[in-house]
Amino acid sequence: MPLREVPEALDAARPLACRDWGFQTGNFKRALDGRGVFLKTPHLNTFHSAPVKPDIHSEQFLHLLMRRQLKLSIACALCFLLVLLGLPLANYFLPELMATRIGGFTLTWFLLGIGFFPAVWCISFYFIRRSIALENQEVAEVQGGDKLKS
Amino acid sequence: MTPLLALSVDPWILSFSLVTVIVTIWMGFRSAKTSKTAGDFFVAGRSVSVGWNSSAISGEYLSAASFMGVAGMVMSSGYDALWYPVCYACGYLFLLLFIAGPLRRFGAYTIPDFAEGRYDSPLFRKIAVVFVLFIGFFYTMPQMKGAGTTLAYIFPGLPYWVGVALVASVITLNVALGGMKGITLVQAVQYWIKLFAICVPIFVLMSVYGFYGNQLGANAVPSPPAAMQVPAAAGAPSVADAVAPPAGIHRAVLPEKAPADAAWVSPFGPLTTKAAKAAHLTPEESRPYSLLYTYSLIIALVCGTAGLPHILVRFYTNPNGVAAKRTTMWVMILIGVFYVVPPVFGVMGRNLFPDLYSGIGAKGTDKIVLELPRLLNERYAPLGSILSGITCAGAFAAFMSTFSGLLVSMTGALAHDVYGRMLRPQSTPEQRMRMFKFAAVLIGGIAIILGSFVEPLEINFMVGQAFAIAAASYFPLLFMSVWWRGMTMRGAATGMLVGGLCALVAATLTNVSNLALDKGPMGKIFAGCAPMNGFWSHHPLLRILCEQPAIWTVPLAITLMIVVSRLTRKDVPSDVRMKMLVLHAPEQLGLKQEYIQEHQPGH
Repeated sequence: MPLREVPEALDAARPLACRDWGFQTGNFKRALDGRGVFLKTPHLNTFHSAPVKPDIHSEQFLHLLMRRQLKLSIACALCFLLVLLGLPLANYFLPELMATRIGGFTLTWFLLGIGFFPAVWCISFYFIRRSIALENQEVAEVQGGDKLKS
Repeated sequence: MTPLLALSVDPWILSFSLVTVIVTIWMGFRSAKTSKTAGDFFVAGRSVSVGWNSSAISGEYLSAASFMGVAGMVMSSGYDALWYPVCYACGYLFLLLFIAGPLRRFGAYTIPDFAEGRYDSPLFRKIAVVFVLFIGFFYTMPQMKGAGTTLAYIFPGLPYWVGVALVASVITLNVALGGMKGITLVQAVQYWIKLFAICVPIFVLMSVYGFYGNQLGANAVPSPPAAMQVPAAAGAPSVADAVAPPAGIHRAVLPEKAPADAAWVSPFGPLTTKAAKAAHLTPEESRPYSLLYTYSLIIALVCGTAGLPHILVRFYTNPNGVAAKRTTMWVMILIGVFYVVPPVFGVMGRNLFPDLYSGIGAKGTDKIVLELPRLLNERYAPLGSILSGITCAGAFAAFMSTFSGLLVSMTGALAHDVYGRMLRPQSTPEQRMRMFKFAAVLIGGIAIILGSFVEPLEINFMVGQAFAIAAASYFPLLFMSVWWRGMTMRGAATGMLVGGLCALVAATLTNVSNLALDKGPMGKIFAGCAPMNGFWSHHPLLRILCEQPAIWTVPLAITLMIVVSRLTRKDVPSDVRMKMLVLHAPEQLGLKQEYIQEHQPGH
């Protein structure tokens, strides 16, 4: 593959992880600059690694930004949906189990009327922490690149 | 007020309610003095902190449906109604995960601003405005029902529509004077009033009559033979007349209209099997229909929460995207704490105040939150009246805060989007603020008329329909616009219009056929729609798909968005990369551009 003038279509066809910057994935020795040109970048795992400033207006930067955040959102949403959509199924297929009494409540009433809220708080707390950490990481990467360049 | 009416008014209840109204108006006036610019009116100057904003959003969100409707529906329908409070609260998670942060970063004032800015299309703004009004009016009707019910309770004999008109007029005045900044403080304080008003009475009631689990446990007890039962007296039933189940929980005799214990306490009960029962299906045959109903309800409530314009607009009042996310998490905690309580009222109401099963309209189960505390007067008078006064104050706070938010949202759509952006783009800020006040009065008037029609419908049911429309219109629009670069204006508009209108028509069909069954004046007005009920009884599946349309309208909207966008892919905005960067990049990278700037013409 040539190191210059890589068409965007070709870039898009590459596996998603390959479109990360070399300094982030660690396993790729080349990264793209903002114009879609491959740069020779040192391997992260080598002693001489030096990050390349990501171009924040590039397709690659946007792609990575959205991919990271969407991945986190989908993971949290799946946990939530598993519980939310699983409970009616449990009511449907396991009615006797869900009717088991716990302190006067049926199991299903207890799960839905009381247990659901703390579960959702935990998911949202985890999401907020990870999401803010991701944003800080993105800012640090851009600003770190800036510092190195200067 | 007639002398007879004056005599039957409980002074405690009246004074607590009056204090709430007066404090609300006073805070609105006080805050109005600080609302000077258009930004103050529309997005409170984008300066609201996480604490204030999460309290204000919770205050706005906990409507008459949450305060009165959930308890009423749990009492009338049992377990299945629990999905409402749970999904009302948990729907915020979808908002947090996919929409809140990016939407705030875009920096618009309203959702139509976002629609126009994302696709560079003034036409799309017009389409989006229509849905702010559709959803707003659907959501307003149950608030008006709450207002009419509460006033009819405080002033026995007062016509329902007078209560609607009175409350709507007061709130309209408040909003016209203070705009968004005026109501932020009011709504934040009202959240705490509502939490206090729902928690204190229920803890006192539980300490006297038995706790949540024990009250619910009483439903496992088979009803005693009819010969042993003492019929409940008209009016407030005496607890002394109740049949005592083994757990020691007092229980009044259930009237005929009340669902049986087993159906009430179990999943797939009266709420979700109504259509199947009308079609005379066996319990076994009706279970798949109930499952379908439940999933459709869940989709409507969860996706609808993430598509309510009057809630979404509040995220623009946060300073940045991170604050918007933090706000959402705190909202979930605040409203989650609240939503544990209303079902307890429903459970206790079934055991202690079953006479409400026989009432209709403003005298039905929707008023259990207001009535139940008065039982304490039998033992500790006037404690019951005081606590009932507190719940009335909470109910006032509920429909006043939500209606304020809806009014700001709909008024903003008319004054900012229609007048300021479409009709008179060169208008001055003073002209737009004048229009804001005029639009508030206009929408307040329409709300009174619509609210007067819906007395026979359940509060919570109507709110669920507003959620279904939001779920099929704004949720797909926001979700896809934020995360898919390939979406075009035509795709977004087609999906939103078709999905939203299908949900709207389906909900309207269900409502008019329900109103046709009313034995009061509404039954006469909607008598022409009565044959629809015969059709529903032969087609239970269609009835469920119309009553809870989200299960097909949300996928339909998203599918149309994808297909039409693919067909018109050449129309993807040329600067879509920049727009997505603005939506997703952290503010510290300096990419944030407030779509609406204070100095721009038309704002």
